[in-house]
Amino acid sequence: MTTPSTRRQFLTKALGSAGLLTGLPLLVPSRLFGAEAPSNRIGVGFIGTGGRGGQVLANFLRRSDLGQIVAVSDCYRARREAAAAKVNKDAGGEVCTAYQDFRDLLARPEVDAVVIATPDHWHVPAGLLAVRAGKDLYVEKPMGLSIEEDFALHGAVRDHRRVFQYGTQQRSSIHIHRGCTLIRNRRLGKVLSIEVVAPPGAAGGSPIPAPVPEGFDFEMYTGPAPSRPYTPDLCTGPGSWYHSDHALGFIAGWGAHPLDVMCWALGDDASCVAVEISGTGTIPTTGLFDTPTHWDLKGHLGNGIPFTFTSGTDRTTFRCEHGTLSLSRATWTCDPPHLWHEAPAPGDVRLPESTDHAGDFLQAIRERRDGVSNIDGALASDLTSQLGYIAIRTGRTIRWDPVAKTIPGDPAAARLMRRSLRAPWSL
Amino acid sequence: MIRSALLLSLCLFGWSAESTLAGLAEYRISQGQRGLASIRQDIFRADPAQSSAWEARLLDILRRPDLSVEARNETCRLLLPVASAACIPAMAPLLGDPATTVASRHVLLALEARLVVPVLRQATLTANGLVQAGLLGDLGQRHDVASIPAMADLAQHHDPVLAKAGIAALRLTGGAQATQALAALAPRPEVRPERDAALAILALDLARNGQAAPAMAALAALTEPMAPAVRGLVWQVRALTDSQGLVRELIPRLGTAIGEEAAEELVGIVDSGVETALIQALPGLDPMAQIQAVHVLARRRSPAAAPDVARLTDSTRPAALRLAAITALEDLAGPAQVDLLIRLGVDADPACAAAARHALASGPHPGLTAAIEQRWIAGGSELVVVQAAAERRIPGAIAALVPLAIQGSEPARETLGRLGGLQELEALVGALDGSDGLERVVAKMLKPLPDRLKAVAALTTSAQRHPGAPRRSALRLLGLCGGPAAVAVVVGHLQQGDPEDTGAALDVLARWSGLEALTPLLDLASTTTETSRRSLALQGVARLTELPGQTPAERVSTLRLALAASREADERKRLYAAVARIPSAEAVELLRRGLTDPLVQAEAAAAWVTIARTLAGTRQIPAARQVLEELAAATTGDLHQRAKDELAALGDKP
Repeated sequence: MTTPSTRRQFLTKALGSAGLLTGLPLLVPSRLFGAEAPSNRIGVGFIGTGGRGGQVLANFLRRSDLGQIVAVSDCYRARREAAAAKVNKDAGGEVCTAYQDFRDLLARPEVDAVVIATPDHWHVPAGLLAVRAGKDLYVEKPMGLSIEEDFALHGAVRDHRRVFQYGTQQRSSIHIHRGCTLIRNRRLGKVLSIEVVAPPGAAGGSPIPAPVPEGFDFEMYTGPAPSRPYTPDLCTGPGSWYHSDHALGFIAGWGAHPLDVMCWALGDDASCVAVEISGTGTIPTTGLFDTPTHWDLKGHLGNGIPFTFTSGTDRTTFRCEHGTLSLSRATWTCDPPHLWHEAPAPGDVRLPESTDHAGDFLQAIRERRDGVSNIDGALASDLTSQLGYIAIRTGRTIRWDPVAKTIPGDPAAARLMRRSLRAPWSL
Repeated sequence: MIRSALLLSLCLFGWSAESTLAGLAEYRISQGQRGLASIRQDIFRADPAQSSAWEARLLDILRRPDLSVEARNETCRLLLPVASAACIPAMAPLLGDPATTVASRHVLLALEARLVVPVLRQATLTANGLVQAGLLGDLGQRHDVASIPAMADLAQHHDPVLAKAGIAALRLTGGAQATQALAALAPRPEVRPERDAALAILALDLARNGQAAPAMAALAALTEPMAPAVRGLVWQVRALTDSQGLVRELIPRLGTAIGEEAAEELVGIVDSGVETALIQALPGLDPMAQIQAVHVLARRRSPAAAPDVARLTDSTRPAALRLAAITALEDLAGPAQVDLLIRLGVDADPACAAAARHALASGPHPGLTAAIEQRWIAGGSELVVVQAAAERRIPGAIAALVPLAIQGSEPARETLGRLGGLQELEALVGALDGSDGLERVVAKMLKPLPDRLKAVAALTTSAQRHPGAPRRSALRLLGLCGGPAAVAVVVGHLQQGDPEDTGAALDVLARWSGLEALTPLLDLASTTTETSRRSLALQGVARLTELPGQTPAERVSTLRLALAASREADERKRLYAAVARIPSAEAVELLRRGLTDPLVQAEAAAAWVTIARTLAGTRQIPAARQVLEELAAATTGDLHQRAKDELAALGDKP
């Protein structure tokens, strides 16, 4: 069965490739339909241009046929200025403005879509402001710092009908698409169990306060997180991934990738969220960082499939009735091998195809469809990370009620589903 | 009772926990997790029965007058899982302090609204600025209607940041009263986007809860021109409260600049009247609006629209409209449109033809398969019909593509490559003509075959019966099959027949992907007198030593035999490069021989260094050092110096 989005994608491609629209200007339905003139490109704003933000920015620059970066913002002056200079050099003119405060970027009507590649604690608060300002949204993983934040962003994206792309770029890999398609269509039979493995986090970081460096807006960086003195390791490099004021650690930050593969293969809905999860984790006892470095979790998904979620390499393995399929960012193994090559049959679920995550997002905006990494999948994978985190923190088996959207029978654990945000920021 | 509590307390805490808690009172941010991590673990993992005891001790700490801000905040965080109503008096004074308000609000977030709301309200009376904004935000999250006037006041603050926080608090509060308060706010330019977005989303919530009148009243307070995001929310409200009126408003907009948005809205409206209205309006719309309309009908899967959409495919229409209509038929077409789609499948416009074939192959209507089968059985031998029948797995249809593929039809070949099974593969193998096209199809069909032995048998027969180019095709395909049976056939063609055939057999063997080719390649390298054949065979051997499933000793042993068979310096250089990829003592030993050969000693030394670097890269520093020291001892001059340099680069690494 084909999906409407596939059909629309096909149509847009067909119209564009056939050059039909250029000969029939009166038939162009809107400025975003097939037209490639510079003035018709999607205006993109970048919130966060550091490490990961810089990489994603380079990916968007490669798709300047579809989108033009018109604004960047970052709390680090040097970063935002370098990013703007890079964009302007690429465009051959002054097309991109740098902002210290991303709210100024959101106020620009030329910005149709934003990419949020900030530290994790900003993903949802900034995402909500963007969605409410009518911007389409590309958000790096993980989603939020709490279950409440996850649902808030999910609800806002759906209510405001915004196009969403999650930064799980594996979905734009051919082999991940193929593997997930095989599992979704039961080519290996019923899934019996799943093993999810993600790289571990790290301990360390210096907690010694230091003067805030020149050119860094630490107040804005902290944003909705609790106020605490500046330390370099809190705000630079991997440190921003491992402190609980700003992140949940790699259980979510990288766990999002292999968990996302699991969710894509199983259906991107509540059935692929853990309904029971328990296990252990290692939390640093010295230094600045305080999120789990290693973890060893197991449980059951809503569809009844048992799963494990551990720290190690980066892999999602499906053990099925007729064989085993293992997918990682770089490669796959399929046993027996011939199942890997099975052709799709009529009636098969066809997952959306992409080989370019940034390009898919921009194309999705043109077609007003979900990005290949849609928000339902993002919510599903992040919930399992969040529940695993709570299981480690409490040392107890955590049960999840997907209908009531709560942790029943454990009020203390349920309290970890929410966080207070520092004013003026709110959900 | 008191004795039990004391006993419980002693059991729970003992000396170490008590001293850790005492340390908490002295906590400084520069300690980081030291002293904090263990107590957090104890509290977060505490049995619920222990909660009140933990809470009491943490509150004791909070009562200390000399407590630092960081200790106060960390103590509040620790309270989260164990907090009860008992902690509220201790939180109240912290709420109004900018340094502790977030941590204390966080604790109260855990408690029931009826316990917390009074203290939050009280705190807002004396707080101001961001502290007040945070408190009102929490009251909004608890839907505290009594705080709406205070939120509305904040929403009118001259500082836009605080005014936006007030609007956010009203949005979080929700309901008719908060909506009214938002509607009553003057739409100041600096906060208008936030005010309108909040108003529209609350109107949507009201409409979803069946409160149509207040929802519509909220919409009336919105200001023009509306931002697209707000307009989308307004349409959603209208879809819930007055869908027919909305449909009447949207259809004429399909041809305008906001046609895409209007179409999206029409897709989502839950009202069967949308189809009727669109079908009625379709003939009278301009082509641009017709394109949007057929999109909507397709996405709504409205089969009743198929005849009307089909009329838009005739060749007098603009090309973009025809293509949109044919593509829509992919979702809408039923048996009545099959003949039309078959005709369109060979349309002069390639995009239209492709769309029609796609519709025939994938259309979801349950009657399509039977209708296509009927056309095929009735003698429809056109490629479009056969292809559609094959895609729908109608028995015999895939096999019917074989003659078309043999005649050179690229679409038939593409379809066969994806769908063909053993039967079709055998038929194609019998027709192999040495052309790239057929060989490519067979290669594609080979991949998913669970049992390749039958494919090997067919290819073996073909290789035996059809000399020349077909034989060479068969040999190459046998290479893709792999396995002992296939290798035996290829080896059989190494020594006999046409030189082109024997050359092809050697090419295939040298690229073999399984260890079964190792022995024949070594045999050939040892016995042949032709340099080119030997070099190719040795290249194949070197490549096979990199396959998994071999121990380092086995790999080195193979390469030793290969070196023995080699005659040329170039051959030995390639083999030493392969040795470099085996970081083991046996490999180093093998390289030692190369150091005595002036023609290849540089390559042997380079391989030696590569092994040392691999060992160092995998943290086997002592082994790497030993390997380099052996190299230094075994060489002189430049090679000796290189070993010394590498040793120096290793430095003092442990």
